[in-house]
Amino acid sequence: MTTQVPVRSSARPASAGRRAWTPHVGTIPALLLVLPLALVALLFIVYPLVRLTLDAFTQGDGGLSNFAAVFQSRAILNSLLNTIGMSLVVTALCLVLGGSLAWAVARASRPAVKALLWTSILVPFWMGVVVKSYAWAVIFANNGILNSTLQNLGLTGEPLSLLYTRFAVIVGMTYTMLPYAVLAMYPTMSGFNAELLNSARIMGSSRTGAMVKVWLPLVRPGIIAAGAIVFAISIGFYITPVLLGGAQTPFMATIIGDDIFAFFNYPRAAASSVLLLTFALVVLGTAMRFVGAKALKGGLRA
Amino acid sequence: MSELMNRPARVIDGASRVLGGLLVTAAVAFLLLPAALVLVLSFGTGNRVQFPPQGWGLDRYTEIFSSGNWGAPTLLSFEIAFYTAVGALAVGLPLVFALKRSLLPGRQFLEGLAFAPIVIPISAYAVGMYAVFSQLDLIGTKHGIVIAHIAHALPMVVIVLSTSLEQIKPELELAAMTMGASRSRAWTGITFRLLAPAVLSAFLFGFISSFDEAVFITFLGGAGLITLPKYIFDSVQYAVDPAITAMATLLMLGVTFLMLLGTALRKDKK
Amino acid sequence: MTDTHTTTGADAVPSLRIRGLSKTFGETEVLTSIDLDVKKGEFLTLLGPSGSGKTTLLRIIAGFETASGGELLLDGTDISVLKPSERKLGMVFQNYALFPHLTVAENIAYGLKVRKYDRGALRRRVDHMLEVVGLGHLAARKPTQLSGGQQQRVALARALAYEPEILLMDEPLGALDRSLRLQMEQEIKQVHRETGTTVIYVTHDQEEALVLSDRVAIMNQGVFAGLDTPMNLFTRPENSFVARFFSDSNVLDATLADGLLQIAGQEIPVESPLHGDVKVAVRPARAALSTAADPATGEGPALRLPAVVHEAHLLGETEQIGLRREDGTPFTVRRPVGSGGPVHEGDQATIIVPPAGMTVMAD
Repeated sequence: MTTQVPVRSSARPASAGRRAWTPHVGTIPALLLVLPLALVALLFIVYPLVRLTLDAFTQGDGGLSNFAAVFQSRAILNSLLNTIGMSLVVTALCLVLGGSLAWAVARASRPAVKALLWTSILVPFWMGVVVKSYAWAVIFANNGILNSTLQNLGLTGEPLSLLYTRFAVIVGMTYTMLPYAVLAMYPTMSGFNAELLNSARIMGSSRTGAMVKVWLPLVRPGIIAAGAIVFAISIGFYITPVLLGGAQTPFMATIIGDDIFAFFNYPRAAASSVLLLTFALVVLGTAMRFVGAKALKGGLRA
Repeated sequence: MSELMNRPARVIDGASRVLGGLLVTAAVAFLLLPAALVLVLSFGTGNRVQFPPQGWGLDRYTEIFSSGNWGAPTLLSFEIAFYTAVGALAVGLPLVFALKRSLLPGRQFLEGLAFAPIVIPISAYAVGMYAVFSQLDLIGTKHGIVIAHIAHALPMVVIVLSTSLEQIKPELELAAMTMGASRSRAWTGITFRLLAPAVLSAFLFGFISSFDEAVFITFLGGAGLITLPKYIFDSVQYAVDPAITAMATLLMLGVTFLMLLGTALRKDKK
Repeated sequence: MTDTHTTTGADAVPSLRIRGLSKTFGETEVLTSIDLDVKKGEFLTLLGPSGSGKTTLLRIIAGFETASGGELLLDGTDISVLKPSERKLGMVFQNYALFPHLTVAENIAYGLKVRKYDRGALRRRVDHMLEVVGLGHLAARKPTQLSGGQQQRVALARALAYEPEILLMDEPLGALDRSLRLQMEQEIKQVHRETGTTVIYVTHDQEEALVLSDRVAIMNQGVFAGLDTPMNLFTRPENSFVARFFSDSNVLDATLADGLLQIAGQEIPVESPLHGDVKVAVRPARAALSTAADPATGEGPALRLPAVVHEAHLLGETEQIGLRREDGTPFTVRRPVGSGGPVHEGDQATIIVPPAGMTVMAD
């Protein structure tokens, strides 16, 4: 091999007109790589939100009039409180049930148990939201499964009004959001070093004490991130409140839809949407300040 | 060690252990029962959906295939989902290479932008889209819905791809390059090959995300575009058609199958 | 300093020539004006603690990093502007970086395929490399089905298959356990002898450097602290860092005037061109111990240092005794097991160093 002649002659001028090679992609090719996203994001993620906000302040009578219209309508105000209140309940339920579930999945050692837990989390995750709501409608209907079972067992005479109640909406939404909550908390839970609990117990702490004093502070960022994500998604719900809540307890999304398609009042719809958006951003932003953007992103990429 | 723990602490420990077990059991039951119920009821007969059903049979399934109502929405859903998956990949795949293989400033921001659609309240987002779509004459068009669904699918697709690309060590590319391969040859021969299962998996996730989507289609689809979720949504709003149990079951099984396939493909590589 | 014995006159042309190479990351200077000539067929080791710049230097040679200044010439050609793929180098990575989707044979064939070898030549070459590393029976396996040592051999065969000008190896044995490492050292040596490839080898393990290298460049804080044959570095270190790092030597402060070494209040005649403040290196095995239970005198003039035994333990065939001198500085002595009486913590002892056991260094 020592006889090999160099392919490139030594006449090549040293470092003439050639930029140093780096293992990383250069700026121009990298820009080309992000171009598709930049186009889609600019036109269909950033622009819609900017446009929405501008419209809310300029369409109709402009200024704050659209927001005034929102706050002057008792129906919208009720629905706004309804949306936020119920989303809070859903978030709380998701954190309690989802936290237990995420911890159980992270700790499960038997493959069969692990498989059962993952199946229970992923089946609703990939079931379309319409199908999910439909399933609960079948369960809650006056002549539905729950009522007929209760009646057959003689526990109730008249069928209970379950469908088209807040209760039904909360159950349906929790059902939809629970997998998100589990997936958002799972990285933190599985990243928790179980030896810490053992060492706390060796030092004399009770099991519950160890969980409260060691486990809880360490998994808190994951819980906060999950809570913020669940809440932000929840306040935008449309399908579930329509199918399970009916006209009595409309969500903001229903009001917004009606404003656009029934009352042709787009400016007011824009103002309502901006309010929802603001709530979501405030909650996500607060969570981000508490736990950092990393934890929040970690919650999304389970 | 047990002497160290006093009696109340042990009682609390026992109680919290039982409570934890109950919570997990309740959560699992809560998550699985509705799906199981729909599945069981789809094999019932009679005009009403009730439990136990009046009888058992495949009536609901034969009705789907014979009634002629379901064909068009199903085809439309497939078509839109396919283009959505392709489009989301066309955006997401180059993006993750820029995120993981370049030093471009603002990479974090770009990744955050791609994740944004999942955390924006979807109804507010849909109204913004409605305004933009009206301006661009995209309301009620298939390609409009595909664009909206691409934005909707982007977070999942980017998450799947970037997690996988993160696990493919850049050293493999460097090794190929010391052996004489150009960067493009190293990418195509080594990295793309190793990423292929994740690409397929991301395609399936994008497909399913569009196939399930119901809010954008309601706000942006106009009167003419009726996908499967929209069709079910519309019919459930007025009356509970028992055939929906069969369709829902088929959807669940199909989506679960695709999802398992996608997950298996991603795991396969490790 | 003598030249290495493995490179003969005709080949003593530098294959790789590095001049004034430096590298800064932001404010930190990682490499400072490095000069290095690597001869054809030589096995050169870059040895240093972590953070000494050895891996950065290797990555600059490979083309994964760009130098901030200086020249990098391969057979007279400036390669600093070339892509890694154009540099005609081979590289064995720390974690092997084998392609998981290709078989052993396909991994080895990769560089040949890129170079468009025709089918017959490619086959012959792959078979030959498989034979060199003794993996013919595993040709169809995937890397994940191999043990660490086998993966290591595939990485070696793959990097050598297309006959690179220089083989770069980045801590290739780091992930292996001790017995396998010893075995792999022998195999790498064997392959180097058979192929005659120039090798630049990075490690932090001084034993590896001793066993493998024709020459060793000891790196510390971005410069070469020493660059010589293992024998010279071991027996005649240039400075305290090399003495401590390469041969675990004890380093003592002293002054030198007119061939007389003033050390711990004693005067010892030595041969050295130096004068003024100097350092004296004493390898642990070149010092003897005298205790009350086992008095030893030694012959001729010698340095005698009173000390207290701090701890003692076995290293295998030798015994290592850690002592504290009167001023509290530590001193280590090694002696063959059974060559002296037993010592215990707290024993008074005298360390005896004959002049031949001392290496005088400027710093």
